[in-house]
Amino acid sequence: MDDKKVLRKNSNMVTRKIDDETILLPIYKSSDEINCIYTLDKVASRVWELIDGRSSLAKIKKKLLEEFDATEEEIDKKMSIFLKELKEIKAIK
Amino acid sequence: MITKVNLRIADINIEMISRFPLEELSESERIAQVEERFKNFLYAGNLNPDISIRIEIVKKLPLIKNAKLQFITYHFQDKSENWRFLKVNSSYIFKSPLEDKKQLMLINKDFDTVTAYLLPHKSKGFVWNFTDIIYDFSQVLLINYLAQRNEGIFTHSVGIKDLNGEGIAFIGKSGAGKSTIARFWYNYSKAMILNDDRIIVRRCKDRFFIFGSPWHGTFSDYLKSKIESAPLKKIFFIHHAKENCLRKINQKQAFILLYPSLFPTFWDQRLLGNITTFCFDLLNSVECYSLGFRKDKSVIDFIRQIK
Repeated sequence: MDDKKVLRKNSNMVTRKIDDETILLPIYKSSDEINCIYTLDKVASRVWELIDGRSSLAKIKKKLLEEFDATEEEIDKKMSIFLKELKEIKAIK
Repeated sequence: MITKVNLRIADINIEMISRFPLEELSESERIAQVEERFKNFLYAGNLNPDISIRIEIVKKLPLIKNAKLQFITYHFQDKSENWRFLKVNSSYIFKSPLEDKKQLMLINKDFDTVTAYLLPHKSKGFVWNFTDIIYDFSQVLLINYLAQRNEGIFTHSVGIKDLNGEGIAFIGKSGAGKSTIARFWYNYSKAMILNDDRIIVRRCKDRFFIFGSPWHGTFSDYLKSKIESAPLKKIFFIHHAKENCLRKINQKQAFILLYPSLFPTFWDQRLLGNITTFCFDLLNSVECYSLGFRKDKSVIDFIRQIK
C-alpha cells in the first residue's frame, strides 16, 4: 500500500449509512453488469468516509489507529483488502 | 379519426392516443391479449391522464443524433439486445430493436409525455395495438415516473390483500417459493392475490400501499381479478423450510434482501437515490420478517396469527 497515495471516490455509486455500516449501490450501464449491492462493515465504512480526494492513505490510517482498537498491522491488512475490493468494483480511483 | 386507450395502473392514468386506427383483433387474439392481462386495467373514467403517450406510425423510425446510452438490457438466453434507454439533452429515448416490436419512444424529462414511434403492422398496415407499447416500455416508464417523484417502486413479489383489508408482500429470489405461496393463498385463504410476480408499492400521504399490475409470473388465474390496492403492513422475505419459522429483521437486513428484488433505475444516480430513500422509509414503517415456510397451506394460519 502506497501511503502517500490520495484516492477519490467515483461518482457511480449511491451510498447509504445505517448505524455504523454503509451500503454501496453501483450505477450500471448494462443488464450484464448487475451485481447489486455491497455492504461495508464499521472499519470499511470509516475508510469510505475518509476517502475524500485530499487525504493520503497515511492520514486515513492514522485516523483509524486513533479511532479503533487495532494494531497498525491489522489496519494495514484490512485497508489493503478493502481498497483492492473498492478498486475492483470501480468505486474509487 | 382519433383513437384512444386509457389504462389505470397503481392509480396512475396512462392515456394512449393516436391519429391511426387501432388494430382489429380476432376474438381469440382479443382474449389472449386484452382479457387475460389488461381488461381490468382499462380505464373509462374522467380523471385527467398522469401520463400521455401519442402514437405515431412511421415507415422508418426517427434517427436521433448525439443520444447518450444510459442502459442496455440483453436476453438471458441468447444475449440478444432487448431494449436500450438513452438520454438526449433533457429528454430520454427508449428503443427496442426486436424484429416484431421495433419501436422508439421519445420521453420528456418528467416521464409524463411520450411520443411513441411504431412501424406499420406486417399485414395490417398503419394500425396500432396498445399491448405492443404497454408490455416492456410502460414498465420502464413507470419505474422512472415513480422514482422521479419519490413515490414508488416496482418489486418482484407476491402481493396479497387479506380478509381484514391489510396488505402483505412476499419477497424472494427466483425459486424461493413466490408462486408456491401465491398458489396456497389463492386456493385456501379467500384473500385477494394482487399479483404473484410484480407488485407496485406507492406512498400516499405517508402511508404505503401495494398495487396489482398487469405484468405477471407463472400463475395467472387471478389476473382477471382486480386493480385493487391495500395498505402494506408486513413484508415477508421467504424461503422454503421443513417447518414454518419466523424471525423479525431490522431495516438494514430488510433492505439487503429487498434491493435485489427491485427494478431500480440502475442508470441514474439521482433516481436510484430516490428509490433507496423510498425503500428505507418503507422498511421503517412496515414490519419485516424472514419467513421459512412449509410446502402446505399451514403457512396461511401461521401468518395470520402474528400479532
